[in-house]
Amino acid sequence: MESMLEALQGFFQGFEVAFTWWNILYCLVGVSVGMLVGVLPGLGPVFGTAILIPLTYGLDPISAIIMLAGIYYGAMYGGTITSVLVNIPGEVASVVTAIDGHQMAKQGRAGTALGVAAIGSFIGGIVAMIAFVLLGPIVVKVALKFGPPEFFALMLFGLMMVVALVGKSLIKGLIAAILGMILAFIGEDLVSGTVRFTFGQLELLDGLDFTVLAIGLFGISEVLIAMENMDTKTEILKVNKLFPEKEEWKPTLKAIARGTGIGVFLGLIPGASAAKSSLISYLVERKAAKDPSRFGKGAIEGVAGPESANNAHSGSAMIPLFMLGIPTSPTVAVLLGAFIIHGLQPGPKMFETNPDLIWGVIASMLIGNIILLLFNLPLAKVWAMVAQVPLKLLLPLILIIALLGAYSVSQSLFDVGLAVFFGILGYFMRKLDIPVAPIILTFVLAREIEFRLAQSLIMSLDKGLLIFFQRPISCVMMILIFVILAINIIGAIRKKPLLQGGEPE
Amino acid sequence: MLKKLSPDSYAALISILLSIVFLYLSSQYDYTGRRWIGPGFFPVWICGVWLVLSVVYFIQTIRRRGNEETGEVQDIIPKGKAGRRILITAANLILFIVLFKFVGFIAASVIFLFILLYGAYRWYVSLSVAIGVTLLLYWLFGIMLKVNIP
Repeated sequence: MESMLEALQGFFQGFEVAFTWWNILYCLVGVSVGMLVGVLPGLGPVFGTAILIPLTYGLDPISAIIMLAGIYYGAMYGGTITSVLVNIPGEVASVVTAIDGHQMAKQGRAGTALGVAAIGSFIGGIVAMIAFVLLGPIVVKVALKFGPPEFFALMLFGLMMVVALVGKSLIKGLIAAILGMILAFIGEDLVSGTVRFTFGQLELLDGLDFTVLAIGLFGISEVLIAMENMDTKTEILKVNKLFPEKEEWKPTLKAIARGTGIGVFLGLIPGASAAKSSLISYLVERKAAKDPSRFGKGAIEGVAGPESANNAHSGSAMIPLFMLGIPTSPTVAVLLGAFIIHGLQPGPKMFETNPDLIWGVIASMLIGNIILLLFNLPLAKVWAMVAQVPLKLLLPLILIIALLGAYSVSQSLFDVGLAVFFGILGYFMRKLDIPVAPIILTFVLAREIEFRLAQSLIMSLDKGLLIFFQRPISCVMMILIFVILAINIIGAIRKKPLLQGGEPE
Repeated sequence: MLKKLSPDSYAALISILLSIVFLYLSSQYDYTGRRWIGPGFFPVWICGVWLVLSVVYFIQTIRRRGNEETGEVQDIIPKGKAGRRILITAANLILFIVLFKFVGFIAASVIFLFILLYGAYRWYVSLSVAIGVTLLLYWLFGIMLKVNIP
């Protein structure tokens, strides 16, 4: 990939791939399923993607990824619908949208809120895609210079940031991350072929399957948590006009622009989740507005900005994923896991070996965004009705799908057992405020990290760990890692005296 | 003053215990391979870090008395109706696995769904939904996607 021209060429080639009858259909299915999942309160893109991975097994990799990407997008938007209409955020990133979105709905402007969200998301997604095409060649050129030490440092860096920013307590986040690593160690060691931690169980020879883990930790445990509040009833609000008033277009568009900028930028950085993007966008909008008091009562910018940020973030998160092979947030980590399952290894090499795949996916992102737009505007009412399906019916169905999905991975009942085990484990973890997301992240990355570490040490010719500091890029990254760790630890220690001060004896 | 340990503390203790166990297991593997790190290297370090973190975690929980975040041990599983539901579901999941092994997917699935839907609708509705969904899934996964289901 030498130039922009080549990138564009690739892009158009990608369209060829994506525009096949089949793939459009898969994209459609993915988006619909995603929306379905997203609309249901409490279940989000991570959940939807995890549970539905088994569905993609029969498909060839490109189609599978297209569908999964579609699910991801669909779920994000589905979450918006419930936020606006029912004030229950379908997933984390929609929390911010719920604030003003629901207010707008109460004022009878639900349609407008949804419409603005759809348009904003669309624009955000498109811009992210453009960023991908533009940045692609540059990033890849740099990345090709990376050797094992750089990759190791890079992954460590990505890991650090995500874990540090997830969850309230750094300690818990780190422990969860370590748990993920230990789980990843189960099975054959990449470096030496020794078998580890299997406790004599044959089925564990190949290690834990990612899908099974994901279904259990994210799917089953989510359902268990949701089961605690199954009986709440929800009231639904009317959906009328879809577009904002004339005077509102200008501030809305500005909000969308700002939100998109924020989302694209933050999507590139490990650690910032889409939710953070939308939150920051909201705060920015509030500051930028001429009349900040409108916020919280149905300000349209409060919906337009965050939603654009949200989608732009998801799109631009694809950039580090595809270019460098590192996920910038747990949700993306699930996608990464899905890729690996289908035998793909995202990273700079991918541009040489499988360029059609990458561009195919990107082009389908475009299609997915278009589908979302077309789907949502007219069908918003329909989706809203779906949100009404009573949980008591829904949750058991989800469970059985999850179980079946776990089984279909390797036709193994053992896997189902594992999924259940992790589901219950995940439930308790959530109750203890131990974040579940880092586990998936480290699980996906751990083997790779170890492999790179080994490679680096071989390269170092017995100089040992020093090699990381002898090469400029990795040295910089390692220093950054230490700095960030130090800041977090100091921050955590400082908090303790504050807490103790207020404790009654 | 002896205080009841919060669930966080128990979790921390379990974490400490596990980290020690795995640390021991990791040390059994070779630390160094022929020219590079052996299978034991990474895990040993990771377990070491784990142990340290667990201890810190535990200390945190001791210091943070009156921890409102996670409440008492009993509160982990909610009381009353919701709690019962969770326990039933968990047991049901295990039941499903056992049944699956002996009578195959279809029967296990129908029973599973039926139990979960039991209180929600009248029994014949629940039963028909259970059967219907099971058959649908069987078709979807087994035939459409060619997954082998007993």
